[in-house]
Amino acid sequence: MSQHAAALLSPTAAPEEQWIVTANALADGSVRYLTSARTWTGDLQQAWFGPASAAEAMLVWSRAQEAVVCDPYILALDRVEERLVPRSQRERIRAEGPRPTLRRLGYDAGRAEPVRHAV
Amino acid sequence: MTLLAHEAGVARVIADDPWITLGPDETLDETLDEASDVIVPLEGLDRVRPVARGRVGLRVPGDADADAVAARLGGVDLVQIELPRFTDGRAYTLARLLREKHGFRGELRASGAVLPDQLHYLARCGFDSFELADGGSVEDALAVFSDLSQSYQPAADGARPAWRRRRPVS
Amino acid sequence: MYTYDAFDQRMVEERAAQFRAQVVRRLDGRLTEDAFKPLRLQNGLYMQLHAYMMRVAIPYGLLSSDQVRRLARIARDYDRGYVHFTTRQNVQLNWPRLEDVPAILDELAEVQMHAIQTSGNCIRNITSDPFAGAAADEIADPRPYAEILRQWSTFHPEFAFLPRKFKFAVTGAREDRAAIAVHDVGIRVVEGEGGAIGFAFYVGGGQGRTPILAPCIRPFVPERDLVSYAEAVLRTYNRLGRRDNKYKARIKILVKQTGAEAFARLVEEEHARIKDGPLALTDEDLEPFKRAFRPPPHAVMPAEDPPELVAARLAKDRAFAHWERHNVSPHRVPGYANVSLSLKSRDLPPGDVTSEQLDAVAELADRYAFGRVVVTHRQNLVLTDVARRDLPALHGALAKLGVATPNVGKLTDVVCCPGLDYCNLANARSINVAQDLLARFEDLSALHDLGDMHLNISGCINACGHHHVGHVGILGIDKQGTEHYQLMLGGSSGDEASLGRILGRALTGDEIGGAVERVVVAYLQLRESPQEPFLATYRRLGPAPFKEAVYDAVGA
Repeated sequence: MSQHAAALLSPTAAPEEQWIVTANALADGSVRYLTSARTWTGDLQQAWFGPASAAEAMLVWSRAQEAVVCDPYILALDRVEERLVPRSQRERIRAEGPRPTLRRLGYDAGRAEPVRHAV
Repeated sequence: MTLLAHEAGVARVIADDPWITLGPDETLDETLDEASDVIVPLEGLDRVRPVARGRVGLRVPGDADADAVAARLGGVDLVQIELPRFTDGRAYTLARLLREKHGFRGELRASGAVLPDQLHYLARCGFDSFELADGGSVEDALAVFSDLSQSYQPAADGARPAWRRRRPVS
Repeated sequence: MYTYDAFDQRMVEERAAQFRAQVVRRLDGRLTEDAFKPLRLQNGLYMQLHAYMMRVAIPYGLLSSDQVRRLARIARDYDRGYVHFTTRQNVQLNWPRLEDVPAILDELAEVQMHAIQTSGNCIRNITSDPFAGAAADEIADPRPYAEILRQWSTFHPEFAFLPRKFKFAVTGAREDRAAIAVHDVGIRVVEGEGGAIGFAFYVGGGQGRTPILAPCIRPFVPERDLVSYAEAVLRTYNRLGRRDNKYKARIKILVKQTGAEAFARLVEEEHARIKDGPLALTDEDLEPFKRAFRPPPHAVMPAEDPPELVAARLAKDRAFAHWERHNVSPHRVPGYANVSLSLKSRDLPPGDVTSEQLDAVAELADRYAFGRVVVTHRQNLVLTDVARRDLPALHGALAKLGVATPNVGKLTDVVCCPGLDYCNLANARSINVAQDLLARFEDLSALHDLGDMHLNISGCINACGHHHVGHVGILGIDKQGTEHYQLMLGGSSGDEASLGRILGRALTGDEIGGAVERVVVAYLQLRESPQEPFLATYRRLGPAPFKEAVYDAVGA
């Protein structure tokens, strides 16, 4: 039985360690994750993941992507029931956006889109 | 490595630099004409200066003490200050002290971690010439040198404080 | 207030054009991120957790109503409709796009603003007393001196790559409201013999990892030597400050390791060489700066309270009474007052303001306060020079805007950095702690008159929330991947400045709010009278009873 299937069958199974590559976008600083197609996504669940050695190799490639992202780095996280789960609060907040709700504005600061300036 | 200099607020490339750089152990008679203009590190100065018939330049690190450097400037026509990292700003103070405290009138040259966007500040602190670090674009260096056409404070360039030349908005 | 002439205007326009070209070079690959980073930082542009953050300078915290309106517009057009005021009297945009930053700089330049040196290891924005020019206890208006120092430090070619960042604060009042003891250089205006104006220089204070109160290295620097003495201090620091360890690179470490007296001698030696050079200030140099900050045209008011004010108080309007008591402070001109706008409500993170609020504040400033708004280092706004007869009407307008919470200087006037919700350096969130405390004490502080009680929260050791000088300070730390908070008591940034002491073990996010509550309850039981403020009680009794109150409940 694969580790994968074991995790599915047993909800108490130990989380498996996986590594990802993440960075911030050059254009707007938004959180980016490297995908297996070597593109960048803002959705952690779409991220490529693998062992540390493979992540190191992906990082070398990512460092050459200066036209798209800034300061890429690799990161260990847990894969639990097919979901990638950050280990640190910092990475949880990076994945989900800032937490404070701006009651007066009626929206969540992390999710609302800016009003784009007419160019 | 490209050498740049500035005059009247404009930077230009120096194609025919007469100065030859010697390492700590090199002496004139081995490879060079005694009439060459040579830049030597501090530890080579006493060896080279007596035999040199050309001009002598002194190379010092950016963290050198200005008073100590000034004590060795007799017969020296150029001081080359080497910036270890572009974020290490001691060379700027060293240059100003050599100019303003010790009255050094020869050429001040910046080398090492010299990036295009720094040249303007270096010039204002008294540097005449700059060895651009590898990877720095010469075109950019020439272009950005004149980004700021004026300054608020006096420096080694003799600028007057802006508060002494104010003009009201028309 | 100081207005730009053609020279100043060209300066900010050239800077905007310069940065525009730098952005182009970054986007087309001519500049690597490593090479671009220091350039963008010297223009106040950081990379934070989710986006760029752009810090805009507000010299000595003073804004015109037009500048306030422009900030509102920039936040609306290029950001998400709100801005954040910082503990250094600056303002931050949380979500600018890189390609928009040059346009933002152009917009700022149009209203005589910029982001020059709001980051990087250079001389940063110069802060001052928020009541400057309007305080009842002022020796001289500090802003002319802050402005001349701003000009001297702007694009200073020698001090762009200091060992570490460098912060000035200047105060002209007898009571220190500018926290000069915890700045790299704190300058206090003093009167010398025969009433001559001079400056006491406090050098080498700071917070962060190694909090130190600055020693006074020279009690009287003559007015003419203000700039030359500052230059001598900076040159000494640039030569000798440590560069081998980022955490030991601030001037406070140099002053401490050299010894204040020996450091002062080094400065004196350099100053003696340069003081009669071009930096020496003449009366003609200073006059335009002093003229720029002449008081606005106050009307002559009767000494007694105006009928509007008396009527409002008689109406037994408790909201107005609380507000007048806590948010209104004395002005040096009879019939006028200084009004603080509280940016501490449960609606927004501390220091955050929406574009709509900014526009409305600008209108109120025009109507009631000669078109001026001041940002304070406690992250509030101040309208100076408000006629006392206008207070009831102004209160009504401010209450509608949600900035009349009667809590200025009180426990719920929480000072708070952006923390881990936004900041790349943070170890823990701070906004959620602030909002929890605001909720807990919303009623309590109205019920009991707690008096002055400053609560400061930082999300990391860098201490942007000034936790060391909060009467109650909270420092967020990371302990094995979870947020914890150190609680410290007894700090103060005012006269008799002191640094807070850690009370006990770090507390979890679930514990910290209750712990502060227990400190407050203990204080209410321990104080000698309602007139004894928290800090006095703490200084009288020390930490022990507070420690007991907190840790008996949660375990040591």
